Order: sequence, then C-alpha cells, then structure tokens
Amino acid sequence: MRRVNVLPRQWASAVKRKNVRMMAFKKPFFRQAIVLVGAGLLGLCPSIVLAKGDGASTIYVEDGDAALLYEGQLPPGSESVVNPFERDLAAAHARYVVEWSDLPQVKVPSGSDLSLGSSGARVALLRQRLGLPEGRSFDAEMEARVRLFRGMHGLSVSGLIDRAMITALNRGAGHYQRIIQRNLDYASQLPSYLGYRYAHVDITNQRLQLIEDGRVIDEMAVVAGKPATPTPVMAGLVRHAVLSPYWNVPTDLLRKTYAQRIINGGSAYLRRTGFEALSDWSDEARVLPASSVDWRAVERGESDVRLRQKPGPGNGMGKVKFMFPNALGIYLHDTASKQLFSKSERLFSAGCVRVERPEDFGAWLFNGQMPQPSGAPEEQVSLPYPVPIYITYFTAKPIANGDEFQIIYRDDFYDLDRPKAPQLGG
Amino acid sequence: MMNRFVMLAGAAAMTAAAPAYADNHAGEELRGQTVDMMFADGTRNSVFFGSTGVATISNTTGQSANANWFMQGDQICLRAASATECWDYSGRFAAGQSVSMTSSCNSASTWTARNVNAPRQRVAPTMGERG
Repeated sequence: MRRVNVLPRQWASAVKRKNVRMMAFKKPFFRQAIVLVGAGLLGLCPSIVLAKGDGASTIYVEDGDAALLYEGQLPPGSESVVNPFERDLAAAHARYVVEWSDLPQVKVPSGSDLSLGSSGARVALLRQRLGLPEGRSFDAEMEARVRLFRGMHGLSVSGLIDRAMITALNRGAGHYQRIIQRNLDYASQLPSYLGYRYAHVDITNQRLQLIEDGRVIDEMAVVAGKPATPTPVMAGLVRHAVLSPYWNVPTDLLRKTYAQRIINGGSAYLRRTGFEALSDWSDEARVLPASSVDWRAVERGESDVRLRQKPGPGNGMGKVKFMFPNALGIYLHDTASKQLFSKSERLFSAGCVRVERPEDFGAWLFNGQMPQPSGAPEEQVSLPYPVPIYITYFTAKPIANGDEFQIIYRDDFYDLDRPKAPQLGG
Repeated sequence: MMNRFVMLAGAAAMTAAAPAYADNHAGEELRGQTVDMMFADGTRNSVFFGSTGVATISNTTGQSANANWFMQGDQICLRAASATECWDYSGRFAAGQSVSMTSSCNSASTWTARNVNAPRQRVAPTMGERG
C-alpha cells in the first residue's frame, strides 16, 4: 500500500512520541476518498483524515472531532448537501474544462497590446488559441471571449490582450486546471455540512470569517504562519477560551529559537519577557530556577524543559486564546503585535492564527458577550456549544457576478499548488 | 411538555441566547447521537443531539423541529424559541439502556440512547501553542 507523508517535518517529530490511536472515519458523500488511518500507518498520532491525492491534499482533523464534524451535525439520513466551497469550485472546474481545456495550446508570441479593431497574424493565432473561428480581425466576438478568458484567469476583466494575458495563455490550460482541481480536492474533504454557525480562516488572504446560516456576519484580518512554519489546513471544534493565558512554548521552538535567546540574555531576558522554566508538562509542574537549567543542553535537544510565558502585556498569546484542542499546537489567539494587522500580507506566525479583534470573535463564540477575566492565570471558559472552525488554503476562488464569471487566484505562499512526487514508504 | 417541541419553528431556536455550560464532560456522550424518548402518554419522539448544539426533534409522523440543546449545571436542556425544558442528568448514558427522566415541566419520559460517544480523551498539552 502506498504510504504518504502527510505531516510537515516540524509537526511529525512532535506527534511521533504519542501512542497510535486508530480512527475509522469516512465522509459520507465523498465516494472517491481513500480514507486511510494515515498517521497510524506512519506510527504517528493523532489520526489523519487523508483523501486521495499527492499528500499535499490533506486536511488535519483531530480524531475526537472528526465524527462530530462530519457526521454529527445533522441527523442521520439528512438530505445530502455539498459544502459551498466544493459546490462553487466544482462548478468552476466544470466550466473551465468546457471553456478552455480542449483548445489548441499554441504558444503566442509577445507583442503590442491588442484590442477591438486590431488585425493581423497575431490576432489570427490568438483566435485559434481562444477557440474562435478563423480570421484576422479582433471583432466583438473575440472581445467577449477575451473578457471571459481574463475573468477566469485572475486578470482584470477587460477586452484588452496585454502582456499579462499572453503570459496566462502561454502557461496553458493545464496549469490553471491543476490549481482549480487541487482547491476542489481540499474543498471536497471538508464536511458536506459546515454548520449553522462556523468560523472560517482562509490562510491565503489571512482573513477570518464568521458564518451564520450561510452568511458572513463579520470578518477580520488574521496573521497566519510564515512559509517556513505554515499554518496547517485543518478542521476542528472550538470548545473553550483561555483568559489571561500562559504561552507554553513548543519544544522545537524552544530549541531552535528561545534557548539561544535565554543563553544570550540570561536572567534579565527572562525577567523582561516573563518566561519561566517548568519541570514538565503536567498540571503539577514545578517552576525551576532558571540557573538550574542547562540551556545549552536544551538547545542541543539533550535536555527537556518546559518554557512558558506568564500572562501579561507582552505575552505571545495576548489576553485570550481560543482552543480547539489538537496535538499540532495550533490555536487562534490575541497578540500584542497589533501593527501586523495593517500589513497587506500577514504571514508572520509560527503556525498559530492571531486574530485582529479577539473581543469580537470571543463575543460571537459566546453568543453575545466575551467573558470577563477574573484575574487568575490560564482561566478556562467553555463555550456554550462547540463551534466548528475550518482553516483552509484556497488559491482559487470562483465569483459569479451577474453575467460575469471570474476566478480569483491568490498567491501560493506555501507552494502547495505545484505538483509534487509522492513519497513512498518502505 | 417535550413532545410539543415538534410543533415549534426551528430556525429561530438556533439563535437563542446561550446558557452557561457547567461541566466539560457531562452530556458529551450524547453529542452527535440520537435518543429515543417515550412519554407517559405513549408519545414517542427521537432527539438528535447535534454536535454543535442544534437538536433535531422528530416524532413518529415524520414531523421535525429544531431546538438548541445544552447542559446547565447538572441538567440537560432543550430550548426552542422561548420554551425551555430541562431534565436532571445523573450520569453518562449507555447505548440501549433506558433511563427514566422527569422534566422541569413535570413530564415523565424514558430515554434510550441509540449509541453514545466514548469518553473524550484529553489532548495533553505536550506541544504547547505554536504562537
């Protein structure tokens, strides 16, 4: 059986330590899905819902949440539904194939811009490339075709053939069809019914949307993971918030970044930042004198210690973190670095999602009002109902706008659209 | 009375104000599961306790309505529009085992869960938060 490497390296090392738990789970309407206990095959935990594809098309779902999200939201036997992402992308894919896939993929030489009224040999070649009857004139029919092409290839909608359009033409239909197909693969792995109320983080535009009854009732900016530490595509259930939180630093970040800072900055650094060392990860962990820790050994991975940052103004989690418990250590949280939200591209985190307006998000999660902190550290407050959250990575977004049909393509920051060779296990 | 819920409009119930949530584990075995209820007068309902707090109540004639379900202290409650009915929750339900319940409206019923979730395993904070 083919084994697929499904976890980025920085997570795989962390989850290998845990025991294997198996999950038999299947999305009811996704007949083509090959549902493997992917992590189990690799000796990893928790289990992974792994659909067909090359390993990049994988959505992470904690096994405690999978059945609740995919089968537990509607009564058994409910009318089949298709999630809106899958519905729109399937329609876009079908339209793309009909309009562009079977045309002659001839290369078009660069040259001056062309528009209604132009004529000549390049126009003749372009007519062939666009699937129009033979001719040498840029007529109204060609202009309409150009508008459709531009709209479906992420270009501004106009009747102009410019350099950007020539580039898109010469990339070929396969390039765009692959992108739409990959997006469709991801969408089809989401639950068919996403929920009456759910939160949606789209990594590619770094936005959080709050959805009720199919409508976006609020949205805000988020900061997502850097390409080196990407935010995973995942689904889960937000179950509680933590007020005045600690930030528990993952071991790999401690070794890679923070141990060196502590070595360089010493006790002054620890005092300034509010970090403290603990004996272990249990609830009974003891605070250790920093001087008793061999930080160089920690950096080399030869000694383990738990590093956490106390609640306060500079805490990495800000005033609140929103928890959908998962073994990847991925959560939504507040941040002290508010200035990052004004940037047009917001990929700065180590994988977590920082929320621009945590008070508003919290109020929505709690159906009206964000709980007020008592002042106690790490104060856990359960939501009245678990709220589904979907963290997606869509680089193609279809938009139907009257007679115009467009597909917006977003930057592939994490390089997931490029075809990759599958890694075969022994 | 519980069986009146099937007559209530469902959509409005989904936006009802949220109650407090006392225990992280009470009632979790019913999340995403269906319970058959039989009332003293012979009326039968089934209640699907949706995983995200929306309950679907059905009767034997095929009518159904939505409500919110939630735990409140040591009670399990259903709320549709402005009507709320709660039952004492004395412990985990087991699949196929009937439990006699009396509601806050003094309505007696027998609840039988068709299936239940296994106890939820805590995700140990061995990873921390990636930040």
